[in-house]
Amino acid sequence: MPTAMSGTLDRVGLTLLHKQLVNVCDEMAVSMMRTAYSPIFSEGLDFSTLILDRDGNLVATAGLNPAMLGASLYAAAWIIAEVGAENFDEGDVWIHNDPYRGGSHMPEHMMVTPVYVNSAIAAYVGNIAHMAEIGGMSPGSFAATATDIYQEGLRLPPVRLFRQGEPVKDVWRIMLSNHRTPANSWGDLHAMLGSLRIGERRLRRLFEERGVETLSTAFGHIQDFADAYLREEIRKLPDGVYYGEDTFDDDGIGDQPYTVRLAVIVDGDELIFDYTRSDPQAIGPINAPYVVTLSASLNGLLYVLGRNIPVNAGLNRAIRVVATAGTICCVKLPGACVGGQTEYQPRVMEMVMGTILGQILPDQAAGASGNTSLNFLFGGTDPRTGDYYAHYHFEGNGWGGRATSDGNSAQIVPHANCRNTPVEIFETRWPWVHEALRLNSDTGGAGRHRGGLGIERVMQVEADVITVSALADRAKRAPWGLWGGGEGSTTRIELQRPGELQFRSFQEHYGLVSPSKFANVRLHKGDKVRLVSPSGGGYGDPLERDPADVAADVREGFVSAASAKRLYGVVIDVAGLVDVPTTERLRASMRSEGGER
Amino acid sequence: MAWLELHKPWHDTDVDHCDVCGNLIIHRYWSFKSVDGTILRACREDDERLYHRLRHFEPMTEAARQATGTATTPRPREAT
Repeated sequence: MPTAMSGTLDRVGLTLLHKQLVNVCDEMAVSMMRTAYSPIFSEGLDFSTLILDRDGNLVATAGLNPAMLGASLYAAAWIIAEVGAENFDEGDVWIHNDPYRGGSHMPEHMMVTPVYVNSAIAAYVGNIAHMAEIGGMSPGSFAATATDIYQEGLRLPPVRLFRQGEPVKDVWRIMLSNHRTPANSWGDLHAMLGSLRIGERRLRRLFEERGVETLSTAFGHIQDFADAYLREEIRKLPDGVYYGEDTFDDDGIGDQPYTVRLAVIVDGDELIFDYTRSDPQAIGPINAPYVVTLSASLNGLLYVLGRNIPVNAGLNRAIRVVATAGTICCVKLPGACVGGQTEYQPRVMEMVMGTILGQILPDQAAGASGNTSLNFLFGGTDPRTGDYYAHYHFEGNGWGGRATSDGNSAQIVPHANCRNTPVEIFETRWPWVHEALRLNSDTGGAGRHRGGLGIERVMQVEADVITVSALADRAKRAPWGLWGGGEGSTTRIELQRPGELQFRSFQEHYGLVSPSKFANVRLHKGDKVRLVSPSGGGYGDPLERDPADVAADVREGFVSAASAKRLYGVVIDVAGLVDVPTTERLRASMRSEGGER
Repeated sequence: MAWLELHKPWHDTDVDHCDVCGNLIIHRYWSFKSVDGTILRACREDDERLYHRLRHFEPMTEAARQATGTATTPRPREAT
């Protein structure tokens, strides 16, 4: 039975309404997952679904991919501002992937459509999804050696994909003729469209049940609530300036490092994220669009402050993100930027929640995860079908230890919330056979709470030729630990040719500039690739770790007995138990000598 | 200090960034004079205040930077 509402809603009513809106977003997400063609949608869940008010402000989103938060806050609002609400007819669907206009990077496409009630726009529904292939210089559209945006794929400013419900065939034909796998793009774009139509129907019904003005007013109050909640949390922080920086290995073009420098200014109930001291824009694709820097800032803040704050545009009032256009934190046309979303964002987000806000909220902070997505792209012709395929693969790594527990192992970077692709799906869809997929033992950063473990994946080429690319980081600089915790381990991307006795890096094989960024290497049948993802940094002094936990780690194979002794000062006997007297003596000695951690 | 129109032909697909925060400027911008007399274009009126707030915090930011240095594992500390 419809519930009539009038006037303003109280806090309970707003909460229930917000949950209802999030449920609509969830239903949109399930539709997209179930109907997409590409595993990056159906398995990876690399997308977001959105409800926006009639000005394009975010009201609700499914809790899927926080990495898209900045784009969710701005992309639709900017489209509406740029093209004008008067150009959104009923049944229109606008699409764009422009990273200079609110997109996070070009593979992520945003669709937005108006929700008409009584012949007027009452709201919008939208989604953002990472398409697996959009053309450009490398299969998978993730070219680690791209030096400008034009090499990264087909860039779309806001254009109509549907006009009054009918496809704009000219735009479709341009898109599909520039993508390497147009059949997949066709399916994925229709999955996005179907998701919009579900959201549109559900939202229209809500408007009809509750009235446009009542619901629109509530949309505003939901945002006001988030704003007030966040301000209350910020007000609890001590005023001041907190500084941190972190450095990328290289940009894939040269071997020089690039540094992000961030000052977080706490000023009453507002926060300013000041990135203006950061390095100039890189030539290679590690740069971030403005919205990615916003995502990194806000996600880092939310992780340490407000687990229950509703996610909507109200969160974007108490904070200001300041970056200089033309720097690594705010890329300018025609700067390459596909890696900003996957490498820059986790790095910066974890810097915010770890080394910067950790200065005042140490119990909320965590050591660094591997914070690379370890993007591995490939494409070619499948000998089993004769069809061209392309795939964008991202890899799990170890998360940092935190105040309450060890870091998670083998998980996608914390900012993205995505899932990996199961081996069974992998081998069914593409011509690879796995030899191993296992935790990378004895590599987690030592600490009172240990860093999680990265993984080792070994797989063999089963086609005559596969073209591969990689875009990762943390190959030279290991993830940091916190409060005395040890560093994690580094990224390795290696190759073993038939007849070779051991793996060597792609860099060594091909004389590449970067150990973690390359494009368009042709592999052949029998070649084996080994991806080793980094492990997370530790949290706290390893000598404070419970010896029983260290012994359990040794029994589980997470830590070797030698490392237990060297890093933790814990001696394990032949039965796998802690040798208590020897351990106490060793730890006392290590504490007095300040031994290796 | 005034809102001014940003005139761009339809075939210009480049974008304009805010001189204060880096955000996108769409159709119009807030124009104001910086302390050295340069005219700045901002995406919102409040960015003029933001500009002055950043200048106010500049010495504290530098102090925090000096205190932290390039260390990636600072100890917990009091606010600067």
